Amino acid sequence: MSDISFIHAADLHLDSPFKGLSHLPEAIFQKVKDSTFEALDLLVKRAIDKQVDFLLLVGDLFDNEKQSLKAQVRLRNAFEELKRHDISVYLSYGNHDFTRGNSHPVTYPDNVFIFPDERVTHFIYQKNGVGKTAIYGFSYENRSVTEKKADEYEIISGDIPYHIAMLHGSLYSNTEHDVYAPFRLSDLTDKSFDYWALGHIHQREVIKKDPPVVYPGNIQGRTSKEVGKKGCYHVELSHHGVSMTFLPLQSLEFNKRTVDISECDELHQLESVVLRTVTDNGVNAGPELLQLIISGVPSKLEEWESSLDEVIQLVNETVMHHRDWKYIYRYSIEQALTENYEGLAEGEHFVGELLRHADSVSIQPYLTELYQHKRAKKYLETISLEEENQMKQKAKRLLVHELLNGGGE
Amino acid sequence: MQIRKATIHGFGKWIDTTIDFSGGNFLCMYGENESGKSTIQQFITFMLFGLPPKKRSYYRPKTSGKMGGRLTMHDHDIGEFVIERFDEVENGSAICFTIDGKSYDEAWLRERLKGITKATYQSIFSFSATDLLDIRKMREGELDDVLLGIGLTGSSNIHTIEKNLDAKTGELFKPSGKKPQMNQQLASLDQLFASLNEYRKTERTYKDKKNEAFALSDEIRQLQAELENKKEAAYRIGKKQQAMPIIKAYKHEYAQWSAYPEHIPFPENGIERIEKLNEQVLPIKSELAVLQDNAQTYQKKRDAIRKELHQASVYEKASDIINQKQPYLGNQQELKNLQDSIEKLKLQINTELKQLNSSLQSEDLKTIELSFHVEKTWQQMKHNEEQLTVTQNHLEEEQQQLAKKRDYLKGQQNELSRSLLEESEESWLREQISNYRYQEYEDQDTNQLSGKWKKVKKETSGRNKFWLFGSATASLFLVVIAIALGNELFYGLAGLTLAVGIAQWLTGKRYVQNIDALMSSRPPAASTKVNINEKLEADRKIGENEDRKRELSSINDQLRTNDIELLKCKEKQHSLQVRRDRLNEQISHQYEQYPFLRQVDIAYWPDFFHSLKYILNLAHNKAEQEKQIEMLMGESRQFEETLNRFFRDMKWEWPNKSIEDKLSIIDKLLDDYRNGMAMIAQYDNWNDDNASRQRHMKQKMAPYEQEKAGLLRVAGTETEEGFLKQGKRFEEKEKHTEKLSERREQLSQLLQKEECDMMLSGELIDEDKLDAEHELTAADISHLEKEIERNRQQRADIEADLSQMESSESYSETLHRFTIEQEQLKKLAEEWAVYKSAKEMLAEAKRNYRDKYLSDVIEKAARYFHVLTGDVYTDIYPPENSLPFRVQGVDGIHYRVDELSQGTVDQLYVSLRMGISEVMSKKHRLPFIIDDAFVHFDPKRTKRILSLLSDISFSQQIILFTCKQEIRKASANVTLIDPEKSVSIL
Repeated sequence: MSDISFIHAADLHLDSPFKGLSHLPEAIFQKVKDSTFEALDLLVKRAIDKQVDFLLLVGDLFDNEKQSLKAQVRLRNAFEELKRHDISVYLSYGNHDFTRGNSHPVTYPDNVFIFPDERVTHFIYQKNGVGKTAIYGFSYENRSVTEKKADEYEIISGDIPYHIAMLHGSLYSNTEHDVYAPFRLSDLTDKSFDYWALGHIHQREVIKKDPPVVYPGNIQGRTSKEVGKKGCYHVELSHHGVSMTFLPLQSLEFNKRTVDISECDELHQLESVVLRTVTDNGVNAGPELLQLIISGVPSKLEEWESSLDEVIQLVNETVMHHRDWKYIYRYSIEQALTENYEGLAEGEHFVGELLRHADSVSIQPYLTELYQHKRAKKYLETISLEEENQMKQKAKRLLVHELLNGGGE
Repeated sequence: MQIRKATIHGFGKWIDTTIDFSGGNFLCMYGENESGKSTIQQFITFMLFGLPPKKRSYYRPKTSGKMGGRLTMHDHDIGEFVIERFDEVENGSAICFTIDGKSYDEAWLRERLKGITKATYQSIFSFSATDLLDIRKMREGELDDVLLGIGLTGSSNIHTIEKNLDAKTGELFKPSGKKPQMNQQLASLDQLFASLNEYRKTERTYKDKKNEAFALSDEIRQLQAELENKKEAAYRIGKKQQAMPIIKAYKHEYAQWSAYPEHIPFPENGIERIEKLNEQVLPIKSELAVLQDNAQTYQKKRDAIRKELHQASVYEKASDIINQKQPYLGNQQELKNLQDSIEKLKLQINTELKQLNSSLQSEDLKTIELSFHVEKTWQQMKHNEEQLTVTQNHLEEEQQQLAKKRDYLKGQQNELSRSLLEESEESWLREQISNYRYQEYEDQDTNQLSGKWKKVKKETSGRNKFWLFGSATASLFLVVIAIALGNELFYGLAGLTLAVGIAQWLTGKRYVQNIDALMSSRPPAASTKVNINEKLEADRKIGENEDRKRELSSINDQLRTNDIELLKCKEKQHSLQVRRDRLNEQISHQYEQYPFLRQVDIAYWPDFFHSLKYILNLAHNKAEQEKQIEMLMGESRQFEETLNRFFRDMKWEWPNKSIEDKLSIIDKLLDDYRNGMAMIAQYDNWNDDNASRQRHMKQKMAPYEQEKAGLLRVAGTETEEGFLKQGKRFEEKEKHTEKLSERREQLSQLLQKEECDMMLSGELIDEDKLDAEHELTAADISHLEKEIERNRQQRADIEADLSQMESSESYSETLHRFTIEQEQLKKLAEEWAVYKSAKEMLAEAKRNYRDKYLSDVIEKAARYFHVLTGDVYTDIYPPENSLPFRVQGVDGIHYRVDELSQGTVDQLYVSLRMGISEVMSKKHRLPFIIDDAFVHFDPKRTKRILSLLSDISFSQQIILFTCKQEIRKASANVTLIDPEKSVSIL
């Protein structure tokens, strides 16, 4: 029997558009568009089903940059539903939904307790009129908070049995994300909080078990990098300790899958192999957006490359209408062998010359026509070095392929 | 690098074949069509560069399990080495063995090839007639570029690639186009972006609208508060308006009220009270007046009655008379009654006497005395007489009966004596019986012997017995009847019956005896034998005789008793006679005493006594009544005397009047007197009563009068009139006061206290002013209401907008769509960037390469061209600036490529291929394989080219495959390719 039970979630990013998805069929598009809300609805449902005492939302509930009123209205509706079931909500704003950037003054019901500013403050959760839990936290007022906020968390004195800290930020060591409110693990564990409810990092991670220091991850994957199940933690605190259960909430999953086509002799076999790979997902029941990596004999891959679009489309047509639909949104061919450009480049011949030249130039100047185009540059981001390199490699591959195969025999 | 030897274990049609390429630097491989020339070329490329699995399986020999072989090479630096490839071994990858016995892998081989791949090798060092076909397909305008491409790379597709890249970039994007995919994408993005901005702008207004809604709510609240105030004011004005007439009335009333003195002394409810008092006193007063009037009347009436009455003494006398009147009248009545009674008695006595039918007369009666015991005596005597007579009769009857009985008994006695048996007969019968008994004793032995026939005998004897007993019984019966009836005939019948029975019995018996005699061994003693019937007959006769004897003795006893009773009867007769004599003595005594009894039977003496006694009583009564009459007559006379005297004294007319009249006159006189007296007494009574009631009334009136006086005192008036007047004034003032307070009450309901005080105290308020004020307020109210309504409407609109915004999916939908389209653009852009980069890099590389090698290639090619065209053309000029590919004839004239004949273009092509191959071979020194490239050349030109190739072959191995005899003939080292005979070197 737990004393206190709650759900810890963060990074809802309600109604934020997905990254890396282009050209979706209408049905899939609608599902993708609604997925964050569906995950939210499921979050509410789980909270009600589990009869938790309260819900912690540790920042980035929505994105100010792509602010949609719908996100906040739906959030309000969710809170109202929770209120009907007597569940409190403690929320802090993060770097995406910082308070000064919010232009939609949607009023939340009174079961929602919002940390008002960047000072670390606390709320007392009362159960049957007795203060049961102190919940600490702060909200981002501006886009970034670079102070070491962890130092400001101090347990209040008094007869409160449990202390929970909400912190939207990242470890110093994390270099993949913008580092906000940075902390070291020891900064947190030095203080005797019963639970550190973190937010900001979309990858779920229990950094430490005792006391728990937890990133619940986001509730719905939104890019090809955010693969697998996404959700929240159901936490039960008692004198005996803490129990945490991960509850998946995602409405659809991003996943990466490799299909090996070395067994295929004919093109028509490819479709069934891909279909099998796509649908044969065992425990992973549920809608999926798939990134497919095709591996196999390079010569065949090259031969069939031009037909792959069609094959993928056929497979998508088959699987996208199921209840547990799948959709291959992107595929790529595994470069099994790095092509012997080095060797080729040594040649006196034209290809050698070409390769040597390609390695020596930047392609940026070729592309200004588009990327500096008055209309286009509005919608295009500048190309990163990595992207540039990728493009160049692709161009080299294309040229070598064309030069050597096109006119060969 | 040179190819020395090819050892084919299995490749296409070639199995276990060795081809030697070491015969010279310029080798001609001759073979007819389908002889396997191309397969050998493929084998060489396979050995050098490998083949994909599909191609490998294509070249797998149909008849052999092996696929692959070895190629012995000679490299300038390394020396000889062997490349070995088998399909089965490591996926067809190469293993190289050097002369020093070391083995190397594919990578080592690739290093040796210095960047030449199969494709580059084929484009540079391999050259076949079919390549020419491609060039012929080129359109004229492109020929330049193709030739240039060939000149640069040995391959014609560089131009195609450039073209394709150009097309693809163009399809994707043109900076100022509309149709390319990205341009379209941009257009739709612009559209999405615009609507997104629009939606965003709309959503941005959410905040403003929300504030506006709040502001409106505030304003509505304020307006409502104001409205409430105005309404209150309007209400007050309305009330004031309502109050106006009341105020007027109040003021009017007040003026009237003020006219009265401040204080009017008057008791509380004075008039009512005095009226009530009067109401209560009035009946008392009127009753008192009636009583006083009555008292006078009573007095008068009493006095009148008194005057009419006589003196009291007269009434006393009259009264005395009348007092005696009743006894007198009673006497008279009694007299009359007595006289009637006497008459009646007389009559009765006479009648009774007559009924007695005796000699007695009424006069005799006085002498007769009947003492109390007479009745008893007479009664006793009568009784005795009757008893004697009864006893007498009884005795006589008894005597007669006894005599009759004696006669009868005598008759019986005689009869029985006669019927008795003679003594002799009796003794005989007794002897018979004893004989039988003896006989019976004897029979017991014989019975045992005659057992067999006993049954028959028994039946027969039974029948006989029946007969005997039946007849005996019948005869006995008849004898009894005969005795009972005394009829002789029956005796006869009895005898007859008995005789028949005996006869039958005897017959049966005889029959039995006969049988017995027959059956029995012992003869019976038949003579002395007494049979059973005889014995029974004897028994019966003796029994009967005995019965008769007993009966006779009983009758004799009865006769004795009868005699005794007769004697007793005679005794009783005698004693009865004695008693009769004594009674007769008593009767005669009575006759002496009362002679009249002689005429009366003794049986009626008691009755006679009673009648006589009654008559005597009547006579006695009569004498009594006569005495009384006399006494009563005396009294009547005395009373009449007194009455006459009273009449005389009163001087009334009296002689002609009967006693009754006189008495009635006196009665009337007395009645009048009594009535008068009664009236007087009544009036006196009434008077007394009247007086007491008058007193009572007066007492009752006293407190009222006192109260009334008190009221008058309070009012300060002497008279009731004054009091009432005062009361009326007081009441009027009260009424005004009441009305005033009523008005005030009405006002207080309509107005607040201050308003009320103000309106009452101040000047009269102008009604018009009030009306105007009211109208003004009403206008304000309607204005405010409109304002509120307008604000509400506005707020409702905003709220609808807000709710519409909240439920709107547009922004979200557009945002998502926009993002996806942006991603699509990005994807396309990347695609474009790849093509674009490729295109640019290709162009640049081409430029560089041209700068580096073109002159060299052209120089070499010009030499070939010169030779091939038979000195017709001396030089080649690559495209430069705007100038196309040109050649220079011997005449020095420059020709554009499109001006050349097909054959010349072919030669130019070949020259260029040869040229680049030569240039490239400086570094790579790979064998140059030519597959019938000169098939269309005339023998002269063929010869030329062969000699040219021969020259080149000093520095580069050249392998020429051909099916042309001329070439074969023209060549020095010819290897014949014939699959039938394997390969032989000529």
